Amino acid sequence: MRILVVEDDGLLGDAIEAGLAQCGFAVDWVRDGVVAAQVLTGSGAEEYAAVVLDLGLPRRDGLSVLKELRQRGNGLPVLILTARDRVEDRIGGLDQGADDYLLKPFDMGELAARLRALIRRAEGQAAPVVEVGDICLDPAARSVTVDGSAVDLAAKEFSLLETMMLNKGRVLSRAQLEQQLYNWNDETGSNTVEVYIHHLRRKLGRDCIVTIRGVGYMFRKD
Amino acid sequence: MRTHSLRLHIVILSISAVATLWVIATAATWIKARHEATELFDAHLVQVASLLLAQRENDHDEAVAEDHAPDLHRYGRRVAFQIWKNGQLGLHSANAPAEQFSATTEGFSVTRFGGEAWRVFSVRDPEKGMLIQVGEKTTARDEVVHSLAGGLLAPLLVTMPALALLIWLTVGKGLRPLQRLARDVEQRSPGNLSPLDGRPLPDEVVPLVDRLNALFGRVAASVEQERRFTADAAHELRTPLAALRAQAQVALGAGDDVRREEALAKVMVGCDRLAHLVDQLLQLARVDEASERGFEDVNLAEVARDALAQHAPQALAKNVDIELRAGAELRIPGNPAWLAVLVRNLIDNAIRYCGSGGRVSVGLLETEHTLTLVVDDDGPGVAETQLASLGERFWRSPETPRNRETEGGSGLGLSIVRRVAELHGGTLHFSNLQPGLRVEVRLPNTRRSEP
Repeated sequence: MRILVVEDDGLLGDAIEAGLAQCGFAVDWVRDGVVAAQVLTGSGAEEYAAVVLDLGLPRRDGLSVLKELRQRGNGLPVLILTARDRVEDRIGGLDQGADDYLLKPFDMGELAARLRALIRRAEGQAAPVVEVGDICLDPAARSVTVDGSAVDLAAKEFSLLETMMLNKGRVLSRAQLEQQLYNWNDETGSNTVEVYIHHLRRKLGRDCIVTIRGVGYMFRKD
Repeated sequence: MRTHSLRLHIVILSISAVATLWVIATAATWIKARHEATELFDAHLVQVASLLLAQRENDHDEAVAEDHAPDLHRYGRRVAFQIWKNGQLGLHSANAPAEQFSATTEGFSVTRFGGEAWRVFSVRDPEKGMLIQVGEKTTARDEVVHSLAGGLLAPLLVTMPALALLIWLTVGKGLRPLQRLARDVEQRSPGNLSPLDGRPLPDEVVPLVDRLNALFGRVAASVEQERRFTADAAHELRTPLAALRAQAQVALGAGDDVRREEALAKVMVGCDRLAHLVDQLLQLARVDEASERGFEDVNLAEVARDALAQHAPQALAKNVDIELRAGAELRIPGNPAWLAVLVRNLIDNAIRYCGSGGRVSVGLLETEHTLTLVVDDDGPGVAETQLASLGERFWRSPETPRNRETEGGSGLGLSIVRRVAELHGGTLHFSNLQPGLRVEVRLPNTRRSEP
């Protein structure tokens, strides 16, 4: 799951980046409103599963970035993370198109949980635990079971599986999967997605992931 | 009894004044009436005596011995007369004594007879050996005077209570707007500082209400400022607190020691930053309360030199060139600690915002009326439209990207500078250089203008 964090405070942005990474997210961090708007314009927005947005930003206010995003019809889940604690601010933020509003200071676990909930809802999944056939994935616990027995997965394997299970029955290109796995700073090899797919098939069974040659991969809907 | 009741006070004062004046008027009337009555009655006695004398002359020694004149009027009994001829009592009134009325044989005299005081007028005709004495009880004239004075005093007793009631009611009616105001004020919640509106008001009360409303206005403004400051402060504390907590959580959740130590080091940075912010907040609160009481003779040039010396390491580390252009001495009355804070804040800002290899220059200029402290940097400056916002609390330029240099700023430094300048009767001015920002603190040059 790739998250865009827009936060101008250096120490806080750094902590969110590290904290969300610990929770299994790939995080890109930008520090002002203009850059955030650029990143979210056009195809860039599709790389992200959600945005954590501060409101008091240099150069361009967070609310105006959000407004522009919604005006383009982009439904990307946005969580406002701000020091503005007045009820009017919260109402304003939610009415401008935010999906959630979290006040500073906050708990990192709560931020991660809210992001997971937003992503789940955005992908039409009501239950926190994703189940396809006998494979069961718990994003909060970061655990996977097959037929009730736990399977040990590396962090990237888990993220890849989560993305694929949330999009079960849909073909995802290798590029799309890469975007969900890595942030800007990660080095990506040319065939790393193939390697992780290979690992997943070995651990979960050959049939769960279908290769559509020349297009991408799809998690079998069952 | 409420001794401070304005109403009672006015009633007592008015009634006393009216009663006193009335009594004085009555006394004056009484004295005057007594005088007039005396003259009138005396004239009457003289007239009677003259008549009797004339009468006797015409009677030609007719012996009318032991003759009694009849009583003709209710005051008649109070008047008595005797006509003596050659030592013999001739014609006389029935109520006259047998002896001579008065020993005095010429003019007025007062004598006692029958237990009462009589005023007697005597007239003599030595040629005929006649003495006529006409007397009148003094009670007669006293009665006239007393009834006159009584007639004046009687209405006083009746009108006084009526007057008192009238004044009581009138004053009560006049004070009603005050009671209404009192009720208004009493029913107010402590937070309600809107102006009083008790109109229509008596002219005498309008200034009080106006002053009260002005006071309400000032208190409301100060409360609003306080409230905004508290809200701003709470808001500004949230982000550094959030950073601190988040970094601490990252440290707790770190998988290895290197990352944990990195996060803990950032927790320390966050603590220092919060401490700095709290310091600045306290400083701002204190300078708001500071007064001219602690003023002494301060050498501003020395203060500037010390401040630059303190910031030399910071400048050196950033490869920033700093210089001071000032004479050895520039003295002003002021608070040395606050002036040092002012200079330090300006230098710190300048070094923070000018790039590596930049230049910060501090100058002191003296003119006849003004001492100017000028701090120049060659940083990016501030957009012209935002120059006016500089010095507002918590304001940070939205144009300046955040980086490690600009981050330590609390957004309070220039607010503190402005308040310190104002404390010393000075003003703060900003202008853009090409390139850079110039900050000027203009202070009144009291040394020059005094002599």
